[in-house]
Amino acid sequence: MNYETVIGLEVHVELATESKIFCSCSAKYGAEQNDSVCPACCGMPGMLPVTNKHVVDLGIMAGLLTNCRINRVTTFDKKSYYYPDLPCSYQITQWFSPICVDGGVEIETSQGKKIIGLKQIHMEEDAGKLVHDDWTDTSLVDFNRTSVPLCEIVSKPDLRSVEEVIAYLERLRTLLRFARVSNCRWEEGSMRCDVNLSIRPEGSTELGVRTEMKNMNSLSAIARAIEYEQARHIDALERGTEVLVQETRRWDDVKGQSFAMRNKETAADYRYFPDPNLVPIIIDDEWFDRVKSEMPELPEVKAARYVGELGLTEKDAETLTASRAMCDVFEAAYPLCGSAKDTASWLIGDCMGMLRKKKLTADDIAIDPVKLAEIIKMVTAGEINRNAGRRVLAAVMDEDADPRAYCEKHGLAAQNDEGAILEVVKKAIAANEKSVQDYKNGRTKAMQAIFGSIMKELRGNGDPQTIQRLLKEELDK
Amino acid sequence: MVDHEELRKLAALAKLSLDGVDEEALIRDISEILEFARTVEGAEADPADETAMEPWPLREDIVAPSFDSESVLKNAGETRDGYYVARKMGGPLSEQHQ
Repeated sequence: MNYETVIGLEVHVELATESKIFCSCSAKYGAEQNDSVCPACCGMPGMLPVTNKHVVDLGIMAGLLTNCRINRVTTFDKKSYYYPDLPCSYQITQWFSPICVDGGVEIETSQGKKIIGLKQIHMEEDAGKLVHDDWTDTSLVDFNRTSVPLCEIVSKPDLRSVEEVIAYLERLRTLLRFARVSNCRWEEGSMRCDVNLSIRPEGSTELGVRTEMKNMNSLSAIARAIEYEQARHIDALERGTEVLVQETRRWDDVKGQSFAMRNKETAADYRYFPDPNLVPIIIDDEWFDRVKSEMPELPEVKAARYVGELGLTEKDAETLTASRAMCDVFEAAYPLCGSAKDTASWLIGDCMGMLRKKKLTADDIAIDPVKLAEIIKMVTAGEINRNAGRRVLAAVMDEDADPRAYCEKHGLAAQNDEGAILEVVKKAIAANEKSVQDYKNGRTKAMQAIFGSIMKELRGNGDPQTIQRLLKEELDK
Repeated sequence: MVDHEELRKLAALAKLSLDGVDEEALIRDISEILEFARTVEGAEADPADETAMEPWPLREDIVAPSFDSESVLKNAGETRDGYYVARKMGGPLSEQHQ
């Protein structure tokens, strides 16, 4: 019998705010344990939550990016469960009126395009972090992540394969990163995913027994986990290897197996109820329109514009639009230097190369676009050659150097005085008799050796084309 | 009406022990509370009276100093290396619940 896999995803992303969702503690990743904590986020009695407005902005933005309807009156609710990393024994989340509902994300796979429906997006607070100590049978609790804002994006069970799941997650990540809703770093846990999966005979419209795998934090692990669960479910259905039950499972990526954790609670077990400490948030037209006006041009629209209006190649446009930070630098720099193509070439060739050497990504680019434009202008005008330009670029990227001051200090100005260059050319010819003889005997490559000694004499600052021209003229005399 | 099974389930979820508790009395109390809640739910309220629907102040996204970890941990029963110490619960992370 042929089977169909039915998958729904719950994706958690940490929102890109400075402070936490219900208090003013820093939401930054990587602080010392319990260093970003106050009485509110570690659940001291009597402390009241106050909602961070920017969290709501980002929630609205997430909904707009995924074609959701935004609930103009949205509320927070308490979800009760008992665990040491949740100091209040309840999590503030959205159950009755989440901020976004009924959306869809278009994906493209080898099977073509498809819309993956979204049930809802809700805002909630993260839990703390536990470090388990098996020696003393205790858990060490760090509340730094407690109350860090999250959006949970809940898809409909519209996904059918690993390929679709990966395409969906990559598309979500691109959208959310581009709009700076979240940095979506799998490795830091700022993007993580729960996979709900069931199997049914092909053609059936009824859903099979669903299992949920929690806290998946890499695309490769998600792919392996789905393949394992598919096989486990089919074995159970075809060969009766086990009785499938609705449960939460943990994926062990090292063992390549999933393990039962607990039977899935029902919603009633969480005893959701409206949080009386947080009154409904009313998103009026002014607020909604402001966020809408801040929506970035999406990558594919940008790429088409770069090709159509600015004359970039499709490949360059695609490379630039993979990173919002790159696009921002590009769009600020090219009008200043007057050449979109040159700007793209410097960013893709030189800047990205320098970032890669430091094991950084395009998103990490931190260069003043005015300074980048200045370098491009200096090279275009022949004031410095391209090699010198690269040295200046490195200085600008590393230490925010001033391009002109750096050139002056390091004597990088191009030697454009033809008379002076000619003197050096003549000296080099006199000093390289053998190469000159080889050239005259038809080995044109011998010219390169003389060219090298000229460049050395000019400390790399001669205009290569001028040197080539003068050298050839002298040799051909 | 709450029955004994439901009462025990609620107690388990709330981590409360029913040892030595008059379950019948507790069932009566909870049922009365639920009945009261139903009455409140059924009340017709004029939306204009819902003061909760007034715009409510929200916080700007500005970081203020946190408490130093020493103060935060001052009242903890047990601490180690800047962490609270808790009795170990089964399973890796409570994010399992989210």
